[in-house]
Amino acid sequence: MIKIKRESNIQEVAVTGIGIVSSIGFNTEDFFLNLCEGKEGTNLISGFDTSQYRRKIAAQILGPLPNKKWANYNRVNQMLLSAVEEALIDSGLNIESSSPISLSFGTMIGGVSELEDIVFNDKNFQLNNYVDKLKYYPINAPVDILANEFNLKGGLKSTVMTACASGTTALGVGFNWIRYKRADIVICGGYDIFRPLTHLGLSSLRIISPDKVRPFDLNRKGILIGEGAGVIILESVEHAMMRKAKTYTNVLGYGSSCDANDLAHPDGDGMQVSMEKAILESGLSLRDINYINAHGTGTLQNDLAEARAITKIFNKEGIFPYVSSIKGAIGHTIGAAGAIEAIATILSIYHSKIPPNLNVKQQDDNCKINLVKNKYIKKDIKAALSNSFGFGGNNASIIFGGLNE
Amino acid sequence: MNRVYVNSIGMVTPKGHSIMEIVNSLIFEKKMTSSEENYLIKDYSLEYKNLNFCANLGVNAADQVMIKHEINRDTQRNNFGTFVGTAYGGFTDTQYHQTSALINEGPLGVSPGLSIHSGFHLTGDIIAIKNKFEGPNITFTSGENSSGLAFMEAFDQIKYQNLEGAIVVGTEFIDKFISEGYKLINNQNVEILSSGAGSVFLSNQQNNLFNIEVVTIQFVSNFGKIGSYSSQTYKSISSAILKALKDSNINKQDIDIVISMLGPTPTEEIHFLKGMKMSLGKEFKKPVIYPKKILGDMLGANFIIGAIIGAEVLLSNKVMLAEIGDLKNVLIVSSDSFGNVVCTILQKGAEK
Repeated sequence: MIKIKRESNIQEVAVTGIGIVSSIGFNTEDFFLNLCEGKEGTNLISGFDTSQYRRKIAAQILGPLPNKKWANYNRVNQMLLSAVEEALIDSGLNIESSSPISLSFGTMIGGVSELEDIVFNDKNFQLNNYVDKLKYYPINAPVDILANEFNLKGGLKSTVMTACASGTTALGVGFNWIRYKRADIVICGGYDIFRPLTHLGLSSLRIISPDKVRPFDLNRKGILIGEGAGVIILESVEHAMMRKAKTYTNVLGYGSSCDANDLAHPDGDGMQVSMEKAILESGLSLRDINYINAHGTGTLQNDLAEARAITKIFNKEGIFPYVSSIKGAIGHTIGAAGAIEAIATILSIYHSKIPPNLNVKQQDDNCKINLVKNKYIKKDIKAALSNSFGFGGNNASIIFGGLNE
Repeated sequence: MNRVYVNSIGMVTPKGHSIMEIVNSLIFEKKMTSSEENYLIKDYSLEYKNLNFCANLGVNAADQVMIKHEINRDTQRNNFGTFVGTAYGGFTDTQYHQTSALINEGPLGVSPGLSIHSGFHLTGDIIAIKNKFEGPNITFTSGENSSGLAFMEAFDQIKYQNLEGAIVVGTEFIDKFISEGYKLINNQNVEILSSGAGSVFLSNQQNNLFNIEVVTIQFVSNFGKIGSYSSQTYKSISSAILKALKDSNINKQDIDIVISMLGPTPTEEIHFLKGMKMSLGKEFKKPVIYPKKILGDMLGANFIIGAIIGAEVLLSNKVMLAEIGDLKNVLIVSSDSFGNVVCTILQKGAEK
């Protein structure tokens, strides 16, 4: 176990609002209900000519997005704004009278693919015909738009990218801002949309599944690209108590690490370090952690490495926390994954209900974890850990638990 | 809490790749004439030529720092982090190649290698691998504040004892797409963009070469208008400076020199001067350096370039050609047009 000296002069952090746009629900209630009921948001790729694609399934959000008032913005902005609006309403925050609100988000693509789509569809493409689209091109533009739409001033504002760990990293950055007293309220999360080049790039690496995502199953065949936005409002416990806010749970610890050995082949050591850092920071014992929302992509390498890392930390102590990955339901939402999966973790604690790991016929014997197979289970959870790991060996883990009384 | 020190600095710019070359450019105000001059930086190591240019520049700058800064091999590597800031991360170039391949060759044309190498985070990944830094590896993609936020995160992680040290890198490669996009948005060639990268090593330990402490870093975002300047820009600059002074408990009279990472355009300079006057007062007459006028606008790398020049000015006691006595405190301000501002104070000669 690694050693960290804990700083005592820090603020505790609560979760006071959540919002989501996903392929299995446009609000947190529908999302969690569908998640526990085993609904899959996967489907044939829509909106793009896939006649030459080797793999034709994804987890796109089909149909119109929930809120029309932001229809002038591109699709990723609409998803993000909808999720933020839900989270703000959920939190009961009054923007005018609260402390300055900071923003910390993660994404892999942002709105950069809008111009790609135009290039694919406009055979006479000239950049100067699309000047109005250019200001929405920078990867941080959605966060600027968000600040503008909700009139959020005075706080910090950041966009991070740590590949598929981006959403969790953004939560960690926001968590630290509050702990270190840079902010009282941070709207955090992640967002990404389905993009043909992401799908085709990963397909060329032979890690896109031909049909379903089967995390930790013996016959797992890879990922499906999903899309969505997950938004979590973090607030200092002091500020939340002062305004008598509803609190879902607290954030107890965050850890991140880098494999620092290979861009695309994890060995599990870095994953173990990020989990251990989060656990150590939380001050919890291993026995307090009842549930792990796994990164569980459904690829051979990730699932094996993650299961090994979990086993090394927990099993040797004779502890077997429940584990599930929700990627069988919503696919891999890339930069949004960490945030959406954190929401699933928070709601698991809040509703005492662990969502299932779908599509398991035969658990891989090499993944010796306590998998929640195919059906949800009821369970009071003291604390739960959510993992995200990405290309480049970027790892992030976050722990939720303990109600603010 | 730990104190945070600058241990080493490195740069790769159109005006040279050593601190001395760049300071000479500043001293003699070798202004550039066009963006094109600065797209292709010459005479730097091509050891990383297989990477995109943005990562190549960033890794080169990091190498300069790590050559000068030895880390004890017995030290736990997960106590060292990698923090990178970049606005575009070389993505536009790989996006162009992948899009063209898809249009011209179909799905089979999409390159697996470029898919792995297209992420903004590539610079940090390579630096972490090369140095075996197993702590956090975070890439900030927050436009012109990217390296400022990377610096702030590294500062916090060291200050609050999560890390012993961290490498911070700002890097940007300006290709024809970014250049054309900026011209179209601004409707004229007002932005003189430049490729470049800078790197610093921050640590909880002082070293003998660099007796420089980072005493504070603050961020303020009073959002104005998307893509254009507003009154919020200079108000944010003023707020950030005041926050930095308050947090560090330094009087404004004790600031010896200011480095403004605004300034290639008259509008930027006006906003900076207004913000400075609001916070430091009309009577503040200390020297102000505008490195972007000489080095160009390096977007996500701007802040780190300012911090490096600030450190060098403190070490040399020189402002341009003039030696102006023993400098102690340098204030560095970086901002984008929307009103997102990062501000830091570096101090020389801190007691251990």
